[in-house]
Amino acid sequence: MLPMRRIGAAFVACLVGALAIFPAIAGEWTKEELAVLRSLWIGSLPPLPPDPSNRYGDDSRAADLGHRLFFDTRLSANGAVACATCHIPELAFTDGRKVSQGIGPTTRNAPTIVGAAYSPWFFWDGRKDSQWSQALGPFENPAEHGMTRSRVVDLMRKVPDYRRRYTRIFGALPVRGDEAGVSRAFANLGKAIAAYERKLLPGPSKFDRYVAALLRDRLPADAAAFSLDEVAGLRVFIADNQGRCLRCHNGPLFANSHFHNIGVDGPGPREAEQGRLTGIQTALSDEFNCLGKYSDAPASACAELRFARRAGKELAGAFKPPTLRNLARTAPYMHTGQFESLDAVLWHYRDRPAAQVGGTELETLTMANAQFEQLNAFLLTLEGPIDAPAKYLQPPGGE
Amino acid sequence: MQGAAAVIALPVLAANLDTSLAKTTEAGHFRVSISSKAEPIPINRMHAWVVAVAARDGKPVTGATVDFGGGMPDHGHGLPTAPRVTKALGGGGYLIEGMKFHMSGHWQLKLAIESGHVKDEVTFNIVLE
Repeated sequence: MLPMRRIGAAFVACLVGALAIFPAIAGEWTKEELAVLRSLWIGSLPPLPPDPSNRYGDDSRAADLGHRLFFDTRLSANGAVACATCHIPELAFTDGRKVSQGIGPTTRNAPTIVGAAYSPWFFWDGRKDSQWSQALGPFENPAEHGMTRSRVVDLMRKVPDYRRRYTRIFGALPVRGDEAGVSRAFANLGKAIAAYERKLLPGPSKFDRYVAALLRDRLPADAAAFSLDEVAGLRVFIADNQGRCLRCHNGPLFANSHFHNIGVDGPGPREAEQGRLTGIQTALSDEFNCLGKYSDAPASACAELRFARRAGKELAGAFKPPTLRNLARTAPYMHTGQFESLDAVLWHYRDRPAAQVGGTELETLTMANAQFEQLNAFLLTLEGPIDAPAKYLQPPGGE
Repeated sequence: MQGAAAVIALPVLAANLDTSLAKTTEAGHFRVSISSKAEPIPINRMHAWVVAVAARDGKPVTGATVDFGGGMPDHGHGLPTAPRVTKALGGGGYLIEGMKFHMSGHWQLKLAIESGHVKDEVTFNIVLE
């Protein structure tokens, strides 16, 4: 805990008394600030755009199949690992571990899947350019599911329910030994999992209710439910001369889906910590990318891949900023779970250590310790429900 | 994720920042104007721009090579993507695809134009809020 906390709390207690008399103090935002708050508000999240590389992305039959695949441990070499092993619904589809544990220990922290469908890039280093292509990676990773694509497709042949569902959506399964057919069927299963994951969207948080109230009326009664600390933290968050948080954590998902170096080095060897510098090269050569033969998109719909930056020192050690929604459920933080608590994350921004790979983008923040506390208080207001059909937040039933 | 931004001049920058989107290149060889195909200019979304190149006398310059770059001078980083000319539109117009801004603030767009043996450069300032 920060040393200023006790003093800050006493000070806040006095002000809260004053606020009861003058509620306008907490609700006084300029027109420009309100525009920023609106841009962060969940009401500004557009409907999920279709993924042109996945023609099954919005097919409910594919989502139902994907839901089953997501929770099925038979899709692993030891019969014990499913997607849901590291993406647990109750933890906003993370796993609470520093780094995930599949068949063996992995080297990365499991990011949330909630709202991930909006991002053009997947994995911390952006080595995948679609959600369906991302979903395929762990199956063939020896540390995760430890499978091969032919064993995955075999299971679709063996289990009558899978065979029925698959053929209804995608047509006949490939015969054994048809390698191209197996790869295509494997891609189809990724597309089904993505169709499921596209249903997992963020619901409104306390912050969103506060902004909704502000936007309805400049001085609403329910806006006062946002505490003075939370309001102050929000001010720090949006100020480019204070928290500078909006540089990376902008828009209603509080994430710009680009790649940034903030000097959080993982314990792995340097060549494994190059982040986007190697991630983009992997994405460009991936057989399952937007321009590949398993994609349903015309090349014109692959702008993110075609116009991606491929080189430059800024890419070294740069990782994708995560959404800040549901932080209370998604600790530990950073790509190798470097920080157990939000306090530790904020101390990192204050201390601004040098990066071991590439250069940190962090600048010295002219913020008092109490303001880091307030920022912490604000960030916890981004906790919200998952906006998804209830059946998708638990393992599939026996229907 | 996606948001919209208007091109506006922040009060603090307005006094000395030229945010004109039509300029003469540094050595005076070309007149260049740029415009976003998406209005308001989006944040975190790929979009295209059109560059119009004319000679000093106002005649459109066709067949030029237009290199495109830029970034945020106050933050010390470049563009998040690698936009480039994908099409000559005729009449001195060039389509730039792959533009993306991933945060608000002061951006610079730098164009290097080469036509025949003449090379020249121009820098535009835009402020996204």
